[in-house]
Amino acid sequence: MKKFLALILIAGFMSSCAFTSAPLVGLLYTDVKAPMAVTSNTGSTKVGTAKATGILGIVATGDASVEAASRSAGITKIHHVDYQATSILGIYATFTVMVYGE
Amino acid sequence: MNKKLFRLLIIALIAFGLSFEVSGQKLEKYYTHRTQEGGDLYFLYPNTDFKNSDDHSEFAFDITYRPGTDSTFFNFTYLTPQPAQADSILLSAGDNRAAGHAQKLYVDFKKKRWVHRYSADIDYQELAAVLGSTEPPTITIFTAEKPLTFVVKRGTWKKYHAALEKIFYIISENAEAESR
Repeated sequence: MKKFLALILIAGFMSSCAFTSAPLVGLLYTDVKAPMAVTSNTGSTKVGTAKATGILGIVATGDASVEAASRSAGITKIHHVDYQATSILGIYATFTVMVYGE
Repeated sequence: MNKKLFRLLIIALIAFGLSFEVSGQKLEKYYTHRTQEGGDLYFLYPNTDFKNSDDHSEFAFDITYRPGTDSTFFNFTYLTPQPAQADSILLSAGDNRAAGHAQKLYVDFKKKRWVHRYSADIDYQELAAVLGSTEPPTITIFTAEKPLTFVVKRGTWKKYHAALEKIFYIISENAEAESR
């Protein structure tokens, strides 16, 4: 049983674990915010977010689409989109999309 | 590598990773700020600490505020077993009250529950007074059927409140600097 668990853990770590997409990724800890897109629309009065989470690189769920984020704040004109990626020891990772617009 | 050393290494790695999360209070976890033409924009990330006092179902809210305007966008989500359209929302803490008319953003059905997403235009000063209170606020959503009440644990609120106090201070100081 112990060998089996060790094998799963090693396989998890070898397959990059629950790392997330970001311009910079830390092996132990990642908390990075970066731009995703910019449009020619001017000014923002609303902000919407959408989030997806991953555990050990084995399970990942959530809707972190621009559409979901826009819908959550009633945004019809997008000004720009940022995202934030976090990961703790490759065990738990989140990916959050932030849409700014009106 | 012997077993003890390996265990110690694993524990040290986990402690090191977790220390980033628990060391001090990272305000960036709670809000984001954007400088733009026509006034700054503050966004308080979704808070999911509140639960329905009857069935413990989730409630989430986020706040968008532009200093210079008196109102905030208080966007909120709640889940119910049956559809329950919101009419208005009331936040109260002690003697402080903040209320607004609820405007529907969307309704969805996920995991056997109705998901209701609304936005309310709430006066910033009133909202800041409620959320700035050390007393855990109560959130009431008025629907056609019955009011839904959402509460937060005192300990959980204490942590969030400490962050909010700093954020409200930052907003007021920066708004003052901008108006000069």
